[in-house]
Amino acid sequence: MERELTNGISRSTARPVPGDARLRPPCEVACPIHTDAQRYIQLVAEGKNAEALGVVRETNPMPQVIGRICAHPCEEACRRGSVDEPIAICNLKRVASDGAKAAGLGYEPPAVEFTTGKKVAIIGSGPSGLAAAHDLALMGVQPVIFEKQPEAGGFLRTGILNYRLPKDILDEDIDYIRGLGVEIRTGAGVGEDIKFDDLVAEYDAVLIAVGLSESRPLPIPGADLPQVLLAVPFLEDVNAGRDIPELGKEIIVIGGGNVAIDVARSAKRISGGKVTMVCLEADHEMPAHDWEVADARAEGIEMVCSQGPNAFVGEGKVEGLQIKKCESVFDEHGRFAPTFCETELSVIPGDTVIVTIGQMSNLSFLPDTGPALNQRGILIFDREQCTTSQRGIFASGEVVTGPGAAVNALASGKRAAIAVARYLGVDVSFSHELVAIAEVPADVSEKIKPAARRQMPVRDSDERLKDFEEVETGLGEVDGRCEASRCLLCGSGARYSELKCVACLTCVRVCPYGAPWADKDGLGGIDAGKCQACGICFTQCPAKAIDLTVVSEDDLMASIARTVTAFGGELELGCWYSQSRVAPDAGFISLPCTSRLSVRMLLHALESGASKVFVAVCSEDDDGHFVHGHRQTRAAVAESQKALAEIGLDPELIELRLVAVKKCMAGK
Amino acid sequence: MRSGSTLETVLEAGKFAVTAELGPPKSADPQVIIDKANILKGHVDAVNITDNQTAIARMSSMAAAKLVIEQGLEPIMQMTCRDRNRLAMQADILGAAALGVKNLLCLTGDHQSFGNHPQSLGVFDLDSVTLVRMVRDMRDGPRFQCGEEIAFAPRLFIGAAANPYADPFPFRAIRLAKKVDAGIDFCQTQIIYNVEKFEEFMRQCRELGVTERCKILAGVAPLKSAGTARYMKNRVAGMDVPDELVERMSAAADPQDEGIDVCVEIIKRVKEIDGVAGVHIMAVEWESAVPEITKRAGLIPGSAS
Amino acid sequence: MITAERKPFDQIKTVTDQFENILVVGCNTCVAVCLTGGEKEAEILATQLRLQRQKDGIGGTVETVTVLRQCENEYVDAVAAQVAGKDLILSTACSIGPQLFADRFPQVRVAPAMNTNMLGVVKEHHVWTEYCAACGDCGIFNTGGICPIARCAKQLTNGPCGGSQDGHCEISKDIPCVWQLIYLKLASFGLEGNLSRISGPKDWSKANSGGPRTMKKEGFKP
Repeated sequence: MERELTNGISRSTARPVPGDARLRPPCEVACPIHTDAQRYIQLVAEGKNAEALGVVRETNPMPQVIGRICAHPCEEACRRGSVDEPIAICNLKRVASDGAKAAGLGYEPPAVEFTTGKKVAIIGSGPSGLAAAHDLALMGVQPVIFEKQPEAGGFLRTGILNYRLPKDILDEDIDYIRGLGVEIRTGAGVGEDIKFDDLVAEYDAVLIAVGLSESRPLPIPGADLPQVLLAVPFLEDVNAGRDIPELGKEIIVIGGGNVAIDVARSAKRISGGKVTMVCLEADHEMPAHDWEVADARAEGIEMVCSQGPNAFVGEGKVEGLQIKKCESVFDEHGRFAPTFCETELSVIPGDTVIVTIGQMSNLSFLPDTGPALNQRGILIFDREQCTTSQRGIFASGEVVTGPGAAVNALASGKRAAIAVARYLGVDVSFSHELVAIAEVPADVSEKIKPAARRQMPVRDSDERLKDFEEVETGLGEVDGRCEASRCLLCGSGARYSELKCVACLTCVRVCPYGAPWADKDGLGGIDAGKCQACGICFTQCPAKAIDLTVVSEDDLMASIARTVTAFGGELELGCWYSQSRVAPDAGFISLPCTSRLSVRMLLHALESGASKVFVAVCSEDDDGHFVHGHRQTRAAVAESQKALAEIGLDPELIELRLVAVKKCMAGK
Repeated sequence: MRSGSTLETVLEAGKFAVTAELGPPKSADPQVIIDKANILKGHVDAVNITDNQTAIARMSSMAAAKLVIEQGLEPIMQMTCRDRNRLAMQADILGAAALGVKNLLCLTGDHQSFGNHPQSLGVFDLDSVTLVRMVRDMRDGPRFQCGEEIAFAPRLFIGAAANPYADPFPFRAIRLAKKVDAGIDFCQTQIIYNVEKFEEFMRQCRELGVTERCKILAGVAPLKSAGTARYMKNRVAGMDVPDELVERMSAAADPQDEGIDVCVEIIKRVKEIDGVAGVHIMAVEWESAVPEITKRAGLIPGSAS
Repeated sequence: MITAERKPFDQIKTVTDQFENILVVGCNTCVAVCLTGGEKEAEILATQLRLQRQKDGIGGTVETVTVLRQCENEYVDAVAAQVAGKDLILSTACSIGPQLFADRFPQVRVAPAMNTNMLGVVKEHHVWTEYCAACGDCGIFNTGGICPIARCAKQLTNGPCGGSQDGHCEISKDIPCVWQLIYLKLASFGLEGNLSRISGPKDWSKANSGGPRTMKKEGFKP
């Protein structure tokens, strides 16, 4: 699979593109870096973890990090959500990387040559800087990262805790990027030891990716009491393993975002005491992800919502926080403009308060002659071109986008890499917009077999508070494959060639989901929104005008030949949903449905040298995942057997075998 | 003896056979047959009774054949493939034999578009070759075309037509051989005017051994006028009329007389060709010319001698 | 392909004059390819009808619609909206088309605008010739790949007959004698001796004579 960095989106050239090249599965469209989630999920379903990881790497330079901490907007967009529950796309990314690593694969970076002879200085080794460095290296541009902290990773290391993102996992992803030839100089802060202008002079371009490294202070009465801590330094200390003497036993965390959650959970672990979060937002408005709020609550952290901080209470030391009722957080334009009821006051007792109300950037390293700032002290920045006001100086990440998820920072860094590369004369262009396949229509939705989403196993909520070890333990191979099999394969289904179509109406008549449609002039089209990629129309089309986008007929034919050659002897053609193998010693190809097998493919298996072909099929009680899929499998096998009998060969060389459906797929 | 017919007896004895044609009327009047039969009686060994010739509806060959038998003249019943399917044919063959018909000429038949009912369906369930084979099997099997046995076989002397002048020429003798394989006992050729070509045809037949297995009767016909000559030359498929003949007829003072002379000359010439076992005189609607022709040609029917 | 010819206008008019609102339905497969009943021809016919009816003082409407193929339910059903309110459907497809319209729209009268004539080959541009009789029992391997059932006026299996002259059929100089063609073709392979074998009689029970035919396919049923 050749990598090709075109249009700002790494995409495998081996992957065919459906009719409207912009029409993609909603998970991919929602993903800020447009990862081909559907493809990697399909590979996980087939047990091909290393290949799945390869697909992730096409767009994602930090697969393990993202597979742990991603905000996963893909899951919100997932079309399965309208059937039962979205696919656990993020967790499956981890299944892929865990599985690949277990097989010793996936972490050998390719050899890279910096063919352009250009060098770029990147300030900051957070996600956007690392992503930009990764992509620039692959474009032949040499990046050098300047990181002021003693270790690389930016906020991924200093702000996120080990229990969510183990440091060794972070190191593996960073080391891969280093392995491309990216130099990361730690303990090299720009502004102090290194002058910004020197970088400008020495490098062909500079990318500012310093993130939001400072905590926003809360200038209310009592803010200078010693037990009032700021979030960023607190987290840095926790992550560095330093003691925090000010931390008491009754901790109040001001803030309702994800960082506040992390602060609260860390505080809980270290202190073993009571931790209460206080935020302006109402429960349903809390900016933190739902799942993080749930994790925190499970660990015994209390949430006090719709309250604003009025003053720190205490003489000489913190004794509590005075709060006032917050009546609304956002104005009618959705801007942050909280209103309070100044008379409804109360006090939450506590001996420590950690202020987690947001972060700001530190741009003090910029000289006056450098890139300009606006009145609010934010870099003047062109979102399209990623440029600052100074030529040759670019920016990416939270320093210009504002706070956001790590994957958004990756997207920002990747876009900046394209911008920088273009500036340096590399022939690349930005991505075009993608359009998501529409919602699953109700008449199709009701034909999809419900199957409960596999839940991520977590350590016991009391046990896990005793340390900072990872809380989520991973779906694992078995549940991972089950979960991946729930994917609706959006956009990977039937696509047809207008030239070859003879408008015979076969596809219109055989599709159980009503995806192909015809008008008076012939076949109108195949609705990607309805297609479930079962394969029935593909095998039934008499003109061979329909192919499956993933996996195409040519690929499947080649795969059959390859598998037979590699394993010799028998071949088993099975499906994702079957409980067990039929012939465990045989060569094995796993498909979403065996209805994808045409007569030609079955005979091709014999011609390639298989001594016997087993075809898995589910029962006639329609308990299989795809409606009527088994009928097509049966028909194809019957026709193949007839073809063999006609030429005097034993029809049972191709044998149908009934398999039971996996229990995890059998309803809620 | 396959049928015991007069024609068969004459040919088996090696005598030169003479046959003529009798066309049934386009009416239900039996008298026409009776009169024609009496003209021909004594001058020929047997007479062909045509079957809706040129696809014009006439009294049936079988009925006319019976009337001819009653006049003491032997008929050669004709059957085409155009108007009947194999069921009707087998029924008529059994019926004809029961009525005393002993000779049957099997033909494909002129296309219906030539006749007076061009809108009719052309049946053509069989063709002349498969018809011959069916009749042979009915006689010798004896069995029906479907394979069932026939209790009392129709004993018929089987004939077919041969056209030395149709195309492709090299195939014509072969096609006759095919009919012989199918089971014909005798055949009658299309009207001969081009004797050289006929001689070549006969040479091929001898080479194929056809003449040893089948009695070939040369077809001749008196021309009535130059107009008839031209018509036959230009309008009738499968006819070869040399230009000199047309000129001769045009130049003749008495065309009819000339026509008879021409016919007689041809008869004398073909009689000399090795393998020719007789003549078939086709004086269509001019049956009265037949006695004159046989007289001038010195032909005494084999049955008479 | 199936070929069909437009009926003489007078014949069509005899039918259409009786109806007020007419839908002319064209077919874009066989009859379009043989240039007699496709969208273009359907529109021309509809125009002719409108002009004629105007001349003859007949009221009502004549509209046109064309479908890809008139031998499949879905394509015929797709024009239900255009059929609604019409008194007559005049189809320029082969006779299968109007029959299917009669099946699918039982309340509306249906008339053919065409005489379906043959299963033909395109001999040259604008010339179509009958090549197949749909006899259901194809034996053309033995006749050099040439069909004597469709192309012989007497459907002989042991041709040629005595009427074959100068390479053409007795009924017309424009019709080649197919048995001459068969003979020459087999001779070109040195196989003319095969013609000495008696062929037939033909099994007509497989042709339309055996009854109207139905073909079914086993296998996947949606």
